[in-house]
Amino acid sequence: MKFLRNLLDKVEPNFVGNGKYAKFHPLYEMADTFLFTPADKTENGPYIRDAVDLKRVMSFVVLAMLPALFFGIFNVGRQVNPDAPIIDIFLSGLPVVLPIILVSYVVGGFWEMLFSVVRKHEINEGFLVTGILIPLVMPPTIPLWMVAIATSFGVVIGKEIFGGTGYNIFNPALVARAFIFFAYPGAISGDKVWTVDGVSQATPLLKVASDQGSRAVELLGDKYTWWDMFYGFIPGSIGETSTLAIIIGAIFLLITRIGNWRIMAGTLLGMVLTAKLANYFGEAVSSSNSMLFLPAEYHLVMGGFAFGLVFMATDPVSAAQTDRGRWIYGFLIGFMCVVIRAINPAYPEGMMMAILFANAFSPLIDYFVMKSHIKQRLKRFAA
Amino acid sequence: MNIHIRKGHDLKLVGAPAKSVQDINDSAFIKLHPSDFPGVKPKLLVKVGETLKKGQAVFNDKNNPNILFTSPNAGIVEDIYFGERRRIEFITIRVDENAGEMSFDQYALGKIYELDPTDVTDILCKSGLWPALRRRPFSKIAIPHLPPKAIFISTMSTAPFAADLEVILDKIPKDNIQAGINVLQLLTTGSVNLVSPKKVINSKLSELQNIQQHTYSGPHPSGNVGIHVSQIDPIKNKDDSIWYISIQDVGLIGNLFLTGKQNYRKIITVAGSSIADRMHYSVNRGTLISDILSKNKVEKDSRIISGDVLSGSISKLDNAIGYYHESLTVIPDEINREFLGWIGPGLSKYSLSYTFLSTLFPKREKVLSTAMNGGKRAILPIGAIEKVMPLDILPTMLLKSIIANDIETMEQLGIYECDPEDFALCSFTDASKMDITGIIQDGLNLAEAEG
Repeated sequence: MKFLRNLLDKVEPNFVGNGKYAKFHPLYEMADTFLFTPADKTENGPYIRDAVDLKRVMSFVVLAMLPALFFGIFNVGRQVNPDAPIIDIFLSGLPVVLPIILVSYVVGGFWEMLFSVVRKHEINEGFLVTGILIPLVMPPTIPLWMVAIATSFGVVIGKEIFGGTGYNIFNPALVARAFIFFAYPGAISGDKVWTVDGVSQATPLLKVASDQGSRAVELLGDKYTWWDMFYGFIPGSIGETSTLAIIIGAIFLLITRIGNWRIMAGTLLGMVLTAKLANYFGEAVSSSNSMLFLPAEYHLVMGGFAFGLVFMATDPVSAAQTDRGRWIYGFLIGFMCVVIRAINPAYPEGMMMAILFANAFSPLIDYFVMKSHIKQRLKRFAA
Repeated sequence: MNIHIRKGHDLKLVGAPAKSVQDINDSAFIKLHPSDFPGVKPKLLVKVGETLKKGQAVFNDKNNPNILFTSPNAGIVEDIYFGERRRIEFITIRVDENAGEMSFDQYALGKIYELDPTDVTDILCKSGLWPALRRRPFSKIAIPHLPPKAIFISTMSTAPFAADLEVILDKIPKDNIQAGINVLQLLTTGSVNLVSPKKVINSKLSELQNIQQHTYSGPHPSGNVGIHVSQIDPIKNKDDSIWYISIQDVGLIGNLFLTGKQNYRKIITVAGSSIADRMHYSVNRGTLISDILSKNKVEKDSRIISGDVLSGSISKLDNAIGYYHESLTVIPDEINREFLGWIGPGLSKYSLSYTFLSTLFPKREKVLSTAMNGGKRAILPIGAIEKVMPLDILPTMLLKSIIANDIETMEQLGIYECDPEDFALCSFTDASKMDITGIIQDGLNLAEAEG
């Protein structure tokens, strides 16, 4: 390690002050602080600081996504090579998934660096997370050029034009997905895109939404049991199929206190209550909309709900930022997800829209939480 | 009442001071630093070469010329050092105890009540003890003749390595504290409050009269005066004011009225992982840090902090210890750049986050250096700072309103209840390494100027 340290120290003069590559200081800084803990010292009190930094926080979010990623690769491999031994299944998924991740990181990383160099600020680790989130919410058949365009749109329009990580209103990965959904709907919806073996297969969600009938669960028939969907042996976006893998990630995020439990609990609560209400309502009016009859536990394991709840809704920047606000924000996502799934049969995957919708409302939610806090303060003073 | 808080954290650091006390006498020189007093515009009252009695005025405040800053020892003005834009950085005094001392009238303990508040204020201003009284909001020196709604006496900090209250009480005669309280009682229309740690039970406190006594418990910042004020008599707006003072200074005020003599000595701690002899010391105000540490061993590459490690100020050997500081902290200033530290298991790391294995052993004391441990980033509200903010404040919202210069929202969110020291743990634990205490100070400055 001494060698690396010496090398970095040797090239440093080129990247500072009047050095040849001073413009590219963010790149040097990134390499330097990636390899070694930073050299900065405290200037103002407190003179000692917590060991945690954004690199650690963001890389832990990536760690939390690994179970979902590995299962996603496995699930894709299963479509290519269903009867092979487990390790071969996994290996046959890799050539499909890895290029998507690579494109997302390379393209997103390029934009991130460009903006850092122009703005002269350090490269933000936020992209570590966005760069893996984007592949995980794509169907395995997505063309790589689309991944490149969507990543560019998500990073530039979703984040950088607002000022970079910390200033964005929407979750950049969801902006990327929404971009594909509106620009190339054929590539991310319907029943042709979820499997790589050429056989068209509807996702469970699409199946329930497109077939009319009063008992949603019956429509799934024997094709997809609840447990299949829980484990994740279903067609869908790369990272979103296995609720089990996502729950493992959720537990990791909750133990490390990086994922906000209030948001997760609020989202779950919103979904369960709304689903119950929808079930009741469907019964009452004898609706033929099968989605109204989908029980809450099926909402949980179908589509992107679990993935969105754990990895998207909890993005601290685009979420509400007050404790009470986080409950409301989460509840709103759960509510909107079920509502969109139920009343918009053309696009049964409601989670993406629900989160983007709640993102847009989170400043307003915080505003009202703040106002009520101010009122409480005044009341306390009057007493 | 007992003020118990749950949100906060007691830092467990290597280097706590022993309870023993050692006296340090001034050697050749002492120094006064006008920058110890935020908001004071110093105007010199002496020239180089002038002989000073102990307690004689050295400079005053242009905004409040009655408030005198006096020499804690007798001697001759050796040097007046001006920094940028002719700001007075420090005044050096060559100690000569033969130069005598100023004296004041003596009062019997029972007679202090009968004094006129105006006279009491004048005596305190002349004696150089007035600056010990500070006001909230803004934490600047109290404004004479503008009585506060209450006065708070703080006894023991909960910041790392704070001077021990038992040790302090041991050194102050009970009558001095009582006399000081009687003086303070004349300065406010409201109550005088003394807030001590719940675990300290001492007859010198319990026998005090004419005072509201409270206790506090829970992790740091439970000992901060801002927390006590917010629970007992909160600052509601800019015009509201309370004064606060340390119990050591209350004893010195009492001593002044009972004996007519000035004394500026106080107990401090010398502590931290980079200093050998960690204990309590009795020092004069103005004593040089080099004198305090003359028989001590400071490790190479250390940082000397006058005050505690959370809210003190960076100092050096030839400075005097800060006027308000009750500890001297020495910590390592050399950073060990670890390879791939951001992903290591972190058994030896100190963190309030739950991302290091050291979380499993929360009681272990650690050595912390001056390392930032990360790059500065934009605000990332993961809820960590809320966990160490016991005030009824929405910290993230307040910080945003300050960054946006939105004075009205700042005021509504309670900026006047805040002091940077109450946000020290927020700065400590923030993964984005934002200068949160600095932002709060900016907000207070803006609110004071334009609110």
